[in-house]
Amino acid sequence: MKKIKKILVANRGEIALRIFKTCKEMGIATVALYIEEEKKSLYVKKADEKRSLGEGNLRQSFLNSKKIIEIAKETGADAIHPGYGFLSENAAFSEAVEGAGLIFIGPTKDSIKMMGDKKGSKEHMLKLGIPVIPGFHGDDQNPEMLKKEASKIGLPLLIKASAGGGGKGMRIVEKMEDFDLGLEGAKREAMNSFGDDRMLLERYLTSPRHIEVQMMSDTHGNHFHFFERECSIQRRHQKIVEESPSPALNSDQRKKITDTAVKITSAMNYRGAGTIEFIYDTDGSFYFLEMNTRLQVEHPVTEMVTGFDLVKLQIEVAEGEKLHFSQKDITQRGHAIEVRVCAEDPENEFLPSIGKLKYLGDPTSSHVRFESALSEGDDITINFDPMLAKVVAFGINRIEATERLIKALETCGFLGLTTNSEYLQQILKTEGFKKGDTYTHFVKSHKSEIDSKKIKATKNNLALILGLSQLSLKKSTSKKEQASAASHSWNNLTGFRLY
Amino acid sequence: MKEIIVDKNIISGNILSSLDLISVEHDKENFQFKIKSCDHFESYREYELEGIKGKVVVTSTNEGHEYLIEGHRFVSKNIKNVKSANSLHSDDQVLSPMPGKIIKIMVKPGDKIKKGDALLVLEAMKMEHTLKSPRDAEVLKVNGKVGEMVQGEVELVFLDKTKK
Repeated sequence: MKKIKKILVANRGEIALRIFKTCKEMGIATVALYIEEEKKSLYVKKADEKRSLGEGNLRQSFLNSKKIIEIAKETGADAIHPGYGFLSENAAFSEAVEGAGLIFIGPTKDSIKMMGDKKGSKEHMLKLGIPVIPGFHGDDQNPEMLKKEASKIGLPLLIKASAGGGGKGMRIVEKMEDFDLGLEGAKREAMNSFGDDRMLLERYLTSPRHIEVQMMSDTHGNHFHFFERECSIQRRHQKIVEESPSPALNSDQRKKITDTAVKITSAMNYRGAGTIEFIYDTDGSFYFLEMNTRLQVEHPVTEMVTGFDLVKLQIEVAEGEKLHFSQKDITQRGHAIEVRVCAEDPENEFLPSIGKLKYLGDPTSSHVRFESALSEGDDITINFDPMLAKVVAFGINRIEATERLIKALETCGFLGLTTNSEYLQQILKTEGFKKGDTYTHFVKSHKSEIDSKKIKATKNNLALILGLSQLSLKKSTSKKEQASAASHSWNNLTGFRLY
Repeated sequence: MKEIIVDKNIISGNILSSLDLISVEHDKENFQFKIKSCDHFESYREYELEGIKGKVVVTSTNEGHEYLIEGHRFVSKNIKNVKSANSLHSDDQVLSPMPGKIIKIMVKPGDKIKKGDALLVLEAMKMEHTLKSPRDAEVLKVNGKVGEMVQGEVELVFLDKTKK
């Protein structure tokens, strides 16, 4: 067992800040890495030491494993925390860190490798008796054979081009007699779009949910789960709303899915924090999707309902400590919901937006976590990840958590930047969300309801804006022309347009 | 988003006794409210409008102002800025909608393209955005090459002049 005294965080922004907070509490010194553009970012200021990765591209610099390990050695850090993204799921990096005599705060390279191979990991799950989405991914493309496979898989069925993307070369088959026609059409479309008409078959889920289980294992054979998170509401396969507990599960279903997850981490003798993602069908059946061998973006949701500090547990496990609690000590209490605020414009095809953050209200309270490394005056450039902040609210029940989250988003403002904040608020206000009818196609099927264009200035808002604009115009005039400041009319107003 | 164009022709009003008391006439209605600046925040003001008290955050931007009122963000742009931006938009050029890196170019001068055809792909903040043709046209010129960084509102693809 080795006590960790100094941790280098091979990451930036909110997650670096998040890890520093726990380190500080545990009396562990911290090293921040940064690129020159972010030299003055809040997360850099909050570390005990800071080291530059130089100029330029964020991704390239934070992917430079050799340099990162060098800096760790120079600063005398004894462990590296990779956060999420960047090198967090890079088996070669974890191997190199350990090879340099440092502690990698994460799983072994073998676990990372195994789960990094999406096809291989599914085959491994099948061997363990864990359900994966029934399907056929073989090379034999004989139509008769495909049809036979299709009837084995069951209906409804998805025929999908292997080379596919963007919905091209795809057919949903609801009755077996439609199979031949569907296959022909999909092949033709795929040939035209990708020049490749190989098809794969998969069971089609009409209303799937994304439910994942938070895991933590020590190196003494303890494999715990920290219950589920539901992250069904996604846009372009990016999660935007995450919550715990899932409104879809009853206690039997919850037990089934968490037991399955524990079976997986036990079988692979996993180490540290991980998340097992499942696709959950309306009939209660669920299928293994993938495992993320790191801390997730949405981990605060779990921390709020269980009361555990997952980063602290990660560090204790990395030190070789035995986790001194049992599964029944981990309980879900109340409800927590997280949203991801991004610099993007929902009214303009979600194009990334850039600018200077002019005002940021702090929504933090005893029930709201605001996870962000932004400060007023920061420039958001195209080198950044579009995620500006995570806002997480706790409530004694789902309704209270939702109300607190909406209030928190209203407080933030994010003036100076176009964000998806109003879009997120609209999602939280839909009847569908309130009822817990959250499926992966949520934003598509509720498109008209969550249209943030609906937000209009009320008469009073408008009057207020007009007045204030006038006030500031008048003020700026009066600075220049003291004498004419007494002018009481605003007929010289140039006019403005309100969005 | 519904645009509300406000200029001197449709609003009128007077600033009454002091800077703190404002009267606005809009859509033939008169609003009177008090504004109080709070010392701890330059951008933060309290107001009283029709007996209701509230808070508003105002910040100035390059183009105008932004407001946070009742949890909503409002943006007002000086009409000068709006006009200059609009004059750039023409059917004959395709502009970069944001700063970004060109990662793919699908057309070359002389290509006959249809409305909606993909022209080039820009990447910013880890996301790709495909620029599409606004109409049927012939490509006259393409500015920039793969790997190049471009600013926002830059002409990237020039199309043949619209026949009028």
